[in-house]
Amino acid sequence: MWDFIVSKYNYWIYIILMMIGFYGMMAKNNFMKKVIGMNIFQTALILYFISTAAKRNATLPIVEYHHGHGPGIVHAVDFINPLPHVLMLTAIVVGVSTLGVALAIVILIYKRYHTLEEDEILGSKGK
Amino acid sequence: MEKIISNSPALIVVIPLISAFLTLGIGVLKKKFCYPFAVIALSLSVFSSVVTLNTIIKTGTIHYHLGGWDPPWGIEYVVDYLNGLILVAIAIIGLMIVIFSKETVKMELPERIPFFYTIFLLEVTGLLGIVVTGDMFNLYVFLEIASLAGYALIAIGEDGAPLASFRYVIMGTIGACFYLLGVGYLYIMTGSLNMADLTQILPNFYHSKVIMVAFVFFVVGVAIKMALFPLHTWLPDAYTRAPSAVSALLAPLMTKVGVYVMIRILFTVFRPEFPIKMLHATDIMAWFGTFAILFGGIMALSQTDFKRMLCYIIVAEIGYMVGGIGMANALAIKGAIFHIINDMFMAACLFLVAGIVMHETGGHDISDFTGIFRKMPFTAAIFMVGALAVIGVPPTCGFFSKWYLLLGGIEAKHWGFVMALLLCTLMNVALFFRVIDKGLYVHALEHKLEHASEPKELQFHEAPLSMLIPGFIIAIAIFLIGIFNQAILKNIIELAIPSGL
Amino acid sequence: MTELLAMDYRPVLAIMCPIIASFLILVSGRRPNIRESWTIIGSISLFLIVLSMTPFVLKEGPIKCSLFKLFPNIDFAFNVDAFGLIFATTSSCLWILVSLFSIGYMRGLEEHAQTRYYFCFALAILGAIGIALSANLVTLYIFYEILTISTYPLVAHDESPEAIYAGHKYLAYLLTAGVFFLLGILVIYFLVGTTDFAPNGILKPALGSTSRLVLQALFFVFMLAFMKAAWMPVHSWLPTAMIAPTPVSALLHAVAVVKAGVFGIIRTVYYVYGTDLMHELNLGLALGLLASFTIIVANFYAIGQVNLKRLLAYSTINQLSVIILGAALLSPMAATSAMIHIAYHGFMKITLFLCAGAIIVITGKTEISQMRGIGRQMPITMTAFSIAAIGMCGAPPVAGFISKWYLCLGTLQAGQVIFLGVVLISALLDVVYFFPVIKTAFFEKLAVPALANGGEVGEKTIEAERPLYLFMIIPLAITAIFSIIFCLFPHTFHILDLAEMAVRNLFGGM
Repeated sequence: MWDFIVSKYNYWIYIILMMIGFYGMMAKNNFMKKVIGMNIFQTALILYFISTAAKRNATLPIVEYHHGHGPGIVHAVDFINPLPHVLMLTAIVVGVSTLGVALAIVILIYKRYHTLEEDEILGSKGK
Repeated sequence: MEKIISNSPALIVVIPLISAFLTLGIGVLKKKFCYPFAVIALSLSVFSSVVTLNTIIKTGTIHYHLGGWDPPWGIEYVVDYLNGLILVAIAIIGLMIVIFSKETVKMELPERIPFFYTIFLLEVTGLLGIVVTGDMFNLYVFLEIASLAGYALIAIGEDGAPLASFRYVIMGTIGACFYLLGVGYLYIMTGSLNMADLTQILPNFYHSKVIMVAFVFFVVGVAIKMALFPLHTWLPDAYTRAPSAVSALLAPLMTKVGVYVMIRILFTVFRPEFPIKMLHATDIMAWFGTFAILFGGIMALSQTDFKRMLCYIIVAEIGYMVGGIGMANALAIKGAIFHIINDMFMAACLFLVAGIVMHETGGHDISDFTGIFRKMPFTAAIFMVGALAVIGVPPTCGFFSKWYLLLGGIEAKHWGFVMALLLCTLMNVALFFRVIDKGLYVHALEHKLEHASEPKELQFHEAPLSMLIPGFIIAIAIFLIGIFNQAILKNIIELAIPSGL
Repeated sequence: MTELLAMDYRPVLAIMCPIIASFLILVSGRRPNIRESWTIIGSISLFLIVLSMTPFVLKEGPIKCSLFKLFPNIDFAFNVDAFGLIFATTSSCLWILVSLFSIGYMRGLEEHAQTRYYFCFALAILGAIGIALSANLVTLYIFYEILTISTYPLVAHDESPEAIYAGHKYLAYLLTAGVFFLLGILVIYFLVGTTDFAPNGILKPALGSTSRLVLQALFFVFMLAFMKAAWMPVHSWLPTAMIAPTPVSALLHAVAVVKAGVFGIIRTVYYVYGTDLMHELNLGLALGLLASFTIIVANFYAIGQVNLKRLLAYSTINQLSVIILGAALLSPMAATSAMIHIAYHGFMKITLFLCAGAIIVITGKTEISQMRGIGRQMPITMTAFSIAAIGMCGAPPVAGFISKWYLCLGTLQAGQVIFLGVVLISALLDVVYFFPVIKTAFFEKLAVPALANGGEVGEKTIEAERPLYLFMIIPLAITAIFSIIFCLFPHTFHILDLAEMAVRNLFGGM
């Protein structure tokens, strides 16, 4: 049991991070905190993907050419998987764009209601 | 010409994408040219999608390798019978709404015209991309493009729109992240991201817990995006508060594309026996669909705002489709796929009418519909077509998809779904006849006001042509799709039903 | 292509008449005389086309015309057979007469929204003709819904709160019925793969694949689908709908809506289920009992009514169940009676309603007690009323006698003497509530007191006071005369011949 937790420690970290982000999005009143929660959630996901790329005794996925010859035979075992890294570059960009849009919307909300607390806004709307 | 035909899958997506950025440039220089440019871009998109569908009908599924890289190393666009038809529908509706948008954007968003059209084109790019791609991660990218553009478009609406959009941002991001997590699990186990490849590899892993969890994450993530009850809560506020052209674009398209993604994942990536026999997921989906129908219908009855009522009708329509998928037989899936197309046109028609009424009266409440049969008879006619289609009166298209859904329900002996569908028909009648009453019965009102000949508010004042013509085209399309439903079903949809059902 | 040209397009022409008329009515809204003339032209052309098809059908058999494919094995198709032609002839002939009456009525009362009225009227007739000529259940369903939706603005025409309430109740009942209809059609399609009408029914093969209970329950789903036939206890939309203008009530109760309901029931009994299956499932007896219940109870309701139109409404409910009883007996003579009663009752009931309408327009009276001595003020009207009332009771020389005669013979032929008793009792009760109306009209002193200068005001006939009123009086006189003609010359419009031919096809020359 203990073995199970320790050997997969990376996954536990991501789960905890994701739940922190989720909690931030759901339970916090302040819109900025929600945005931060959303970012943490997405970051946890990105970290998870990256961790799937790791291998024991493997090095960075950069192939060196030897003086004008071709790349030679590449032993994939020696290199960590580059594909998730590439995918996560895209995902990071997506996350940044989402962050940008969310912050723009928060600015709009602030301009209109002059507060970023959700309960205050909903209360004022009720009137 | 040869080159265009062979590259048409990519052109469908690339044209709006590049036009979006060009629109921004053009708009900075001269605002007036944004609108015609956007119309031209989307017309080219319609043209490519029709060419694509034509090619599919003649020669079968198209496999387009982006950049010349073979799958599974490269990204592949796969257009088969299912996507082909949906692509054409999205492109046509996109074009109609962009034609429609000229007047409403001028009225509601006068200082943001170039930005509006830029994001509009990006949104259509995203939607088209989701449908055309054959790669799981590429789908995530396009999903996010469409969603982000959607968030931005909704947030520039009327009072309360930024709040509604923010809620949509949170929920939509969770949905997309769940989808991404599912993709990650699949990648860990199989090492591939290509849908066709996954279809071959996955059967070996059907008993693995990771794949089951991946499936669940996919379903929940997509369910958030397509507003399946009870994950629909972002939809009513978002689509009600958005600008008219935006809700007319998003409401028909975004959620139905979600249903398409669900069908792809359920039946193409995972073979049908996995969700149906091994996980019994379709049984659960059938019940969620039933509850969605009932919930949507009942909530719609209690609304006084017309657009909000339409939003709940959309929740119910998604229930039809998900329930149809849940029946898990060929008849019901035929109905569900056909309903994707039909609901796109029906929702576009009704939201277009809401936009016209907003333009003429400044509001989208049911009371703003007073006397429209006299004030705006053409708009009222378009509204009648949309209402009859949602109710399911032949020969509009709504009747035919309801027929197949009901037949599928009877074959699967799922009486809850059948009763819910029939009950929803009655609820839709009550909903729309409430509005028709307001529009039709003006004489009591006249007698109340004064015995003058025609009070000013009831004088004939029809909407501008740029708003009416898309309405007419969509209304005529609703009839044509209904009358020619056998042609569409036999030649396209029956070939799109996943094998093994 | 040759088969496309060989098809007889007359059914399509018949359908196009009301469609084109309705469109022309809509665009000529600003010019009332032109608008009314479109109605008259359309109705006359429709009647002539329908009449032209009758000799052909009598000699050669049904005219088939299939337009396009709706579903696998279901086309949007017309099949003009003898039975359908009875309904079509009645509807089209009465459309002409009711349109003439409407001109007098609407202009006499200076009603609002006349364009909407004539437009919806034309669409309602489209629904009725389509129902009469349709070849399968789905085509029937399409025209059924057109009928319901187009009559809604007619019922709520007044736009007062009561009228809108009546309209909502009307729609609630009839669209719920539509939903049941859809369910029934789907189950039949699922069981036997087709929904076409065939003289021996199409459901027999289903006995092998499903239980008797399912088929019996399905029959009651279809009965619920035909709430238009106003059988008890789903009849209450009909009296409430009396708030509509009287030509609309005449349309609803003589021509289109209720007759479409019984037409659908007869189609279901004979052309979907078939006599063998009905006997097998004992459905004839059940239906007969249901009809008898309605006949007797409706008569009792009618006796207590003070409003003339409501009395006529309950009389209609009664007579519709007489038709249903005729169908339920499953014997040739009873079936003949049911089919001809569709036509004869149509003419008689329309006479009664047109009289009620004329009374409303000319004198403004709606309650029977107000109509004392009105027979002297409006002699033609009340004579027509009396003729039709005599016919409703089943006495010669009015057409109602023929259909009641066939019905009684039919009960004996089917061996169900108890239903004979029901028919005779109902005829007796009919006299009980019609006679007081005639007595009040003719044999009582005028409600208006005598003038001080000696002369009795109002003794003169006021029917011709305005030329507009003639538009109302002449049609009701014509329908009354037709009611007599149908009795003396049963082969008018070939109604009896068509019924006999239809019954011959159903019962195989018995």
